[in-house]
Amino acid sequence: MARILLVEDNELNRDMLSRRLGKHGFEILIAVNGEDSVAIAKTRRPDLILMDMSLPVMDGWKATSLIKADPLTRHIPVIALTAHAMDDDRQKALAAGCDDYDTKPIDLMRLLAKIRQFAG
Amino acid sequence: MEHYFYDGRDLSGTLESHYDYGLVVLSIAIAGLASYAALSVAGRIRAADSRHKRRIWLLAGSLTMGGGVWAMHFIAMLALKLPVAISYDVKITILSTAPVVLSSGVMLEVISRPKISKLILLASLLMGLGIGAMHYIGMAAMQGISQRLIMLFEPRLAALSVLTAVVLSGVALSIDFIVERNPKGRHTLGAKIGAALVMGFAVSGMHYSGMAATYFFAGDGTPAETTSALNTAALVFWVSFTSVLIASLAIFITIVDRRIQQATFEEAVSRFRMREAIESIPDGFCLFDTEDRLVECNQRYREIMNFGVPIAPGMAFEAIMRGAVRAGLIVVAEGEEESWLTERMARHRTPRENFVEHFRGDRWMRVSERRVWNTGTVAIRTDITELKQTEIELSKAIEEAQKARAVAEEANSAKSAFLANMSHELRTPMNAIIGYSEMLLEETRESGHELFAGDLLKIHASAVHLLAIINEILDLSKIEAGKMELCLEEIHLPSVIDEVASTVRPIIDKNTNILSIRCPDNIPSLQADLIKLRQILLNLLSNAGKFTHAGKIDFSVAVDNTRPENGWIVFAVRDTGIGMSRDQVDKVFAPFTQADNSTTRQYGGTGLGLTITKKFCEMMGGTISVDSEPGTGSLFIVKLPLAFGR
Repeated sequence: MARILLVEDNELNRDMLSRRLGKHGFEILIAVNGEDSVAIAKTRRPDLILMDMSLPVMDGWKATSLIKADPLTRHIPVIALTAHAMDDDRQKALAAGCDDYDTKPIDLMRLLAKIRQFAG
Repeated sequence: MEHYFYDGRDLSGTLESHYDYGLVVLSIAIAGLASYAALSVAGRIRAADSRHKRRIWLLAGSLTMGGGVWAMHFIAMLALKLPVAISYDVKITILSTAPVVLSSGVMLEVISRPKISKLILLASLLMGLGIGAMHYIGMAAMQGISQRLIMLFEPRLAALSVLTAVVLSGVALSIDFIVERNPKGRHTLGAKIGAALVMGFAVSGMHYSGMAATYFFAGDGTPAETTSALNTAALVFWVSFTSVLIASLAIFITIVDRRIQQATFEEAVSRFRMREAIESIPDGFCLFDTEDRLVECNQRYREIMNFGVPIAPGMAFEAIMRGAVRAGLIVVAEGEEESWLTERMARHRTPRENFVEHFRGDRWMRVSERRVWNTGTVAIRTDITELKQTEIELSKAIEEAQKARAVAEEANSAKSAFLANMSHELRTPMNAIIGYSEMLLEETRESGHELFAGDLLKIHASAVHLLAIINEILDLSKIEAGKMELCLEEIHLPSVIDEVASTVRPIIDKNTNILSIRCPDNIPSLQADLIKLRQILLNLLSNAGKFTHAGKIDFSVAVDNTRPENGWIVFAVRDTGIGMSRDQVDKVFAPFTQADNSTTRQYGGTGLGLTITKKFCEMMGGTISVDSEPGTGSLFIVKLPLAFGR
């Protein structure tokens, strides 16, 4: 089964999303900030990364660009999770190297469709 | 010829004599004419602006008067017919003019002075004596040609003749004196002629009364020792010559005098008018000469610059300004008076544009200084205090308005920031609520606890609604703060319409409505913000779906090319729903004003959808309009330019 790295600083959202995705049979890795996500991506080699953009220590855009710059991790698809509030987050996410994006609040069915597209 | 004073001898041997009255009249006329000319010359002497001119006029006047008296005397002598032939000694004849020329000179000198008073008596006396001296010296030139001529003078009558000359001279000079100093200065010609006539009578009166005191006797037969003598013909020539000269001079002076008088009068009138005009200017007027000394100013100027010293012509510009600054009339910062004056002088020397002087008592004067070529500087001071006060009030008001605006802007931007933060903070827990309720709902159903599913569904629906409100508040606050950005792109309309239709399908179907979509195959692409266009269409269609039951919803898209230079895409959504009243239509785009509160409970929605829709339309250069009738349905029309921002 596919291994997904969920990068999310909010504890409730992290818990909720990881449990729901887990229920759909994915193996979930957790990172709580951008810096962690870069390290975990390198060591655990997930099949897909769900990246929140507003993160402490290192934000999602910076983390994504590092992941995409590293030959070891650049092949891993990254789906940005952006807040509805910020229109330009979407463009910024794609510019940083994200393969796709989805908006919060999460529509699980829509998100699952995107995940399966990259890590079927 | 022998002359004797009358010795009481028998007067029966007197030579018979008679007068030619034509020549008598002529002699009196010549005396008057000469007097008139001489008195006129006195006016010229008075008006002479240099010593040189004064001397020339004095000489001309003396010669005229003296010559006149002389000519009068000898015309009168020609008028006297005696039975013996007469000739005149040349030297004595010439000499006879001397005393009267001299006394005329003194007389003219005296009456042409600005003040004469008692000197006029001396002048009259000298004039009378001069006339008398001329007469008796002239008599002494007389000599018989073929036989001697004896003259006897009656002394009392002779003295009386001189007195006549003195008195009449005095009268003539007095008249002239009074006339010349008449302050009104007009219609003096008559009086002047009068004075000239009296003087003429002084001359002729002296002569004829002197002649009345003279007795002629024939001497014995021995011829007189004739010196170089003038015969009658020569005398006629010289007297005529002198008379013509005097008459010409009199006419010439009269013309010149009248012209000058006229010019003087006109100048006075024009000066008076000019003064009146200057005084009538409501502003302070002043004229300074090239030496910067005051030439002319009006009363208003004196009032404005009243620093305690009377302002009079001749005052230096700098002195007036300095006086005004010292007296605190012009407001100048303490200790800066000198530099202010220096600058003011420089500005005065090369005036360019108008400027403003601040006077005591918060009075403001606009000063306009102009150089006048070859004349000096003209300045006008206009009181602009009222204007200035209005200006000050206006600038205060503007300043306050700007402050108020800054405060309002700050408050507005603080509000926007607060809303954005609050919305973001609210969204995070909302995500959790929605997520967990969805999760619970799934688990409840999977585990067969259907009992809780209904309530969980309510929690979930409420959370979704709340999130929608939060999102729309955020959108609106961003629009109002001008922070909502447009992301324009080329939009393929058919795919957007399909997507929107499938999204709203559940809402349409829920109320068993029929949705029909009409869109021409050749519809051109649209330049717009995709997300905002999608939101506009979703809003209109979901509203139609919500407010219509078992009805029809028509969604049509068309191109409006009535104006070829900029085409429009027209989206029309027509429903057969509950419709709106006139009042409801009026408020439909205002925030939080769904038709009524019960609507919200019955139909859901945030009350911000149409407000945001309208703002989005306007952001993309378009319009939205509505037409509705209660119970019949509504028609919403959105028009967007095909090529916005291109």
